[in-house]
Amino acid sequence: MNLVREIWGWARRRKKYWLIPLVLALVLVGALIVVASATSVSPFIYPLF
Amino acid sequence: MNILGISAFYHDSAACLVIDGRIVAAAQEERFTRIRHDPAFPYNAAMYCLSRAGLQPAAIDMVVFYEKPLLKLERILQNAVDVAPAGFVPFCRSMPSWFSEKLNLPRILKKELGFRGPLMFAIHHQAHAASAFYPSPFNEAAILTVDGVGEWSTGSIGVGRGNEIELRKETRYPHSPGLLYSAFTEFLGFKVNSDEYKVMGLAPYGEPVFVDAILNEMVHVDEEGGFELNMDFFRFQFGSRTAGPGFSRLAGCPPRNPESRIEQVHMDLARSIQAVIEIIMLRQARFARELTGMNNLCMAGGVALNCVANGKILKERIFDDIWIQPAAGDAGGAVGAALIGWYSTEGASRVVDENDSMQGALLGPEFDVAGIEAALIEAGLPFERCGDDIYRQIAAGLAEGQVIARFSGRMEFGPRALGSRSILADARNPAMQRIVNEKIKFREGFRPFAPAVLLDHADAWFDLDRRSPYMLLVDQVASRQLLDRPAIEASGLDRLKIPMSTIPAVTHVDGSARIQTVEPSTQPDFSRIIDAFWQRTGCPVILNTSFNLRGQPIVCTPSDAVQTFLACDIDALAAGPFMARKPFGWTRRPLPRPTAFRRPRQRGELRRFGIENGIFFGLLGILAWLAPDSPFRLGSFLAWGVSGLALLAGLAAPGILRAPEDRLNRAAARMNGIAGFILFGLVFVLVLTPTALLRRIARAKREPGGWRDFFRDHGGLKNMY
Repeated sequence: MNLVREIWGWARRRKKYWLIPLVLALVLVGALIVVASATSVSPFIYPLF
Repeated sequence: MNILGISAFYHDSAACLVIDGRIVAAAQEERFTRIRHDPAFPYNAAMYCLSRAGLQPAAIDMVVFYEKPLLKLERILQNAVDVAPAGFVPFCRSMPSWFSEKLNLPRILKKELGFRGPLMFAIHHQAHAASAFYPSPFNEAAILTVDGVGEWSTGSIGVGRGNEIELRKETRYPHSPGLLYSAFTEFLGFKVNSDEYKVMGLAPYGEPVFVDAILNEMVHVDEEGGFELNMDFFRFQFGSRTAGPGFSRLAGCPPRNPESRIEQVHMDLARSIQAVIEIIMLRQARFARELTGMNNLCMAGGVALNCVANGKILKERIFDDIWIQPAAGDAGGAVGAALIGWYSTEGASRVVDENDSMQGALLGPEFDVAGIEAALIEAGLPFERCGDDIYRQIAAGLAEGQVIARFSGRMEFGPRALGSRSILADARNPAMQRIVNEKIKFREGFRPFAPAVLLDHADAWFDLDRRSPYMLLVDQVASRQLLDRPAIEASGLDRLKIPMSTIPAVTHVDGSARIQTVEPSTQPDFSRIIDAFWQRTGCPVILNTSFNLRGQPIVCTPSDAVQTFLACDIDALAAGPFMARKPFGWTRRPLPRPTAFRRPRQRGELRRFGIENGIFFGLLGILAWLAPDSPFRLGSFLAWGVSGLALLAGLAAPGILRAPEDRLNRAAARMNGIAGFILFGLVFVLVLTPTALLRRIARAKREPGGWRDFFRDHGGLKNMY
């Protein structure tokens, strides 16, 4: 949540609203990867797909 | 107050500990992991800094990161949008690390160091400026920082007064003198962000025949040192290479293949880009003087490691004195970040040291005599304990033509070895430059070596009229030491064969030298070695080069020193009070290949690993049991077996899971990389490319070159932007 708050603060301060869709898409994908890497069973999860 | 500064995730990761304004320890991660320019989180460097002060991670009051990740991401995304749909592969490769590392720093600090306190973010060039000014010997000074790129800035000019720094002007990406120099480095067959100093070393062999072409076609430089690159020549915006096809057209030759023969045109290109960078730096220094009215100058940023340009700035007398941060590259950002943290606290006062506050850059780890002796015994080296006679023995060996490695005291912080982790040789020996390059360091024969000279004798041997303790100033060898030139002039690399001076091994082909002045107050051990050599030979100058082999980081531990000693033709290893020789029947032993470092996991983490896998395989077994086909049922027993073993090991003896956990996590990291590439690739195609097309329709403006007011549109120290 802190990162989302920082991103919102950045977009407002820098007036880079046009980058928000791209940043949010990246954050979603990034969060997925971080969550996947946070568990120790991820090497076994990938082969299931 | 204990403040940890960190620079990481680009190249040359480092950590620095500042306690109540004093720099207590600093080190680069590469020295511990043995991976050159290691960009990983500097766990080992941070732990070393804490152990030096006898602190636990819980005692850290504040961590300061050396740049603002969201501003840097903004620049990278904006750049990706500018060039899309090109740049697909570099984008997909780089993005996963943004979310696992750069934007994930609070979690990394918590996981790796157990740190949960305040985390601050400096601006990249602020960190460089702080590393240049705060440790300098000046109460007030102009500040000039120049590098490849930080967030958006590629250089800045500011003023430091007391404990305050104000940056006034900046140049912005993509217009970067660092990237311009790097593009030539790449075109000449060397590594970007690593081998720029090879271009500097190659330059004196060439002629500046391309200067006009570069200034007319490739880069426009104004009178104030502001500049604008012609982006048609460059590819770094696309993420993979830096030099574009225009380089070949300008030079009239293709890019040089690494390790191929160096031709005259390559030397001419090196000389020309060096001349251009000197023009830029000199004009920027003059503008800094004019803008700030200061008498002294502090410098940092990767381009400030260009000691030839630094020497020219000094020679032109633009400022009364200049001081350059010895770790001027990104590693030094850790020092600047920590000092910014300190001076942001209320009541933080600055005490100016008359030399400087970097303590001779001896900020790294040191090892006791017992540890050194143990490493020598373990390697089976014959050695003798010499005590204080070690200085006389080193001097005698050098005078006899031996090449001796010195390992002593605290390791240097920054790219230069200054006598603690050094290879030493007799500067008077005309063959020594070739011997050390080819037989000791296995590197290109053209590369020059630096002289270390006792400060009291420096003026008799060099034109330099001041201290240069960090080997960051180039000046001429004194005319009285120069030899008569032969009647037939040699050209190109053949110039190496003609001795230029009474100290030919450290005199470059243009009569210059990258001087290190040594004084007992900051370098007691090293000054005793040179003093003993002077007593013996009458020459207070020796050849000093870093104790490493080509492509390796400088040695850190006694074990590194022994391994490097056994991997090359160094004659003796003077480690602490011991003089070691090669064992009987010695043959060169290659250095071990390093692997990416992972912090050894604690019992609790291994227990969790066992339990998670136990549950996962247990559930997998249930799924297989419920499946209708019999082979799956057989598999369920296997899964339950693995589940039971994992649970049992996790609960009863987590230590035995260390090796499987490490292997599986490394495999997981690779799989995450592949998954990340695919998912970020989808974002590139579905979101980034349409955004790029819309921007092109809206005709977004390109970034102009030249100086502009320093960027103020950022959050505070607490923010990532």
